[in-house]
Amino acid sequence: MALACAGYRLDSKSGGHHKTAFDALPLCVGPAAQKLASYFEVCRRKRNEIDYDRADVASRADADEIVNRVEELQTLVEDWIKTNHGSLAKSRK
Amino acid sequence: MRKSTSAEAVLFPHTRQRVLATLLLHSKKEWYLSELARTLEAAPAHLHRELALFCEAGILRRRVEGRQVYYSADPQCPYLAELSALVRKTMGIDIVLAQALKSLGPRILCAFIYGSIAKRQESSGSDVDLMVVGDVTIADLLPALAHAERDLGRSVNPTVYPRKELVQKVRSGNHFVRAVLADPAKTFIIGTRHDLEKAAHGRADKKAQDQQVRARRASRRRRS
Repeated sequence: MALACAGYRLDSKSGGHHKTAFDALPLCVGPAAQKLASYFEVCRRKRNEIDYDRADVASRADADEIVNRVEELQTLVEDWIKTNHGSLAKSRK
Repeated sequence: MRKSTSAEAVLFPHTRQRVLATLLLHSKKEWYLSELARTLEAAPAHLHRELALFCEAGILRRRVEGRQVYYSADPQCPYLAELSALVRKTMGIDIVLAQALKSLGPRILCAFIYGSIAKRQESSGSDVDLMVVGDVTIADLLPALAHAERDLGRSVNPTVYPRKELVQKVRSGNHFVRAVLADPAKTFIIGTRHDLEKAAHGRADKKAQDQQVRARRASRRRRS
């Protein structure tokens, strides 16, 4: 969402698009997103390991934490869209 | 077991690696022989030979004070910075991580490297597999790990378990946890093998247990 609002589109055919999304996040949204982008980059590597190597490297505590971080990211991105791209913001009924 | 092909194993014998990593990555500290022997769990005579060679080569320096002899990195060595960078990225991974995790110290029961690096079978592109047991989350570790990743030039993949969850995983026979615990190839960064055994089998630290018992008794006395 943030990338699209900033005028970018990820090319899923060239590979590495998940990594590119997290790398690009602070460049689009600003330094406020850096911590969350680094966090999701670690999670992306973990997901890769879960898919291809071993499933148990994620703990229950990791799962609880990622839910909170996703909510944090959603709020950050929605606020950024409202402030910077008001015309694209979804109006809540 | 596969023969080790890591860069550091090709460059230096094992004890020489440990001496170099310890002295170069604690560059401001002066070490005396028995202290170094205790830290590296190596024979003083063997270390003495290695230290003498490094001093002769101008990489380390020796300072005598009374009856004590101190060794440290020689700042006059013209390639000390380059050698330290090489050490940091290869044979000193555990020291770099220990320094990075120091600020979270009391919240971590134990932390160790497992996988290809602990087995000394890594390639130049291998990630560092790190397991942390304690009261921390991935987000808590991030600033420390980002710093370590920059120094190491490798990604660090943390697996974090609170003690309670580790105990549950062991009891339920979780394959990954049991395989990591059973594998003798681990490099401990915080805590020891014994601490991990205690944490994994739900045996709380004796001192902490005593404190909890005392607190419970005091609370009962207050109520009665």
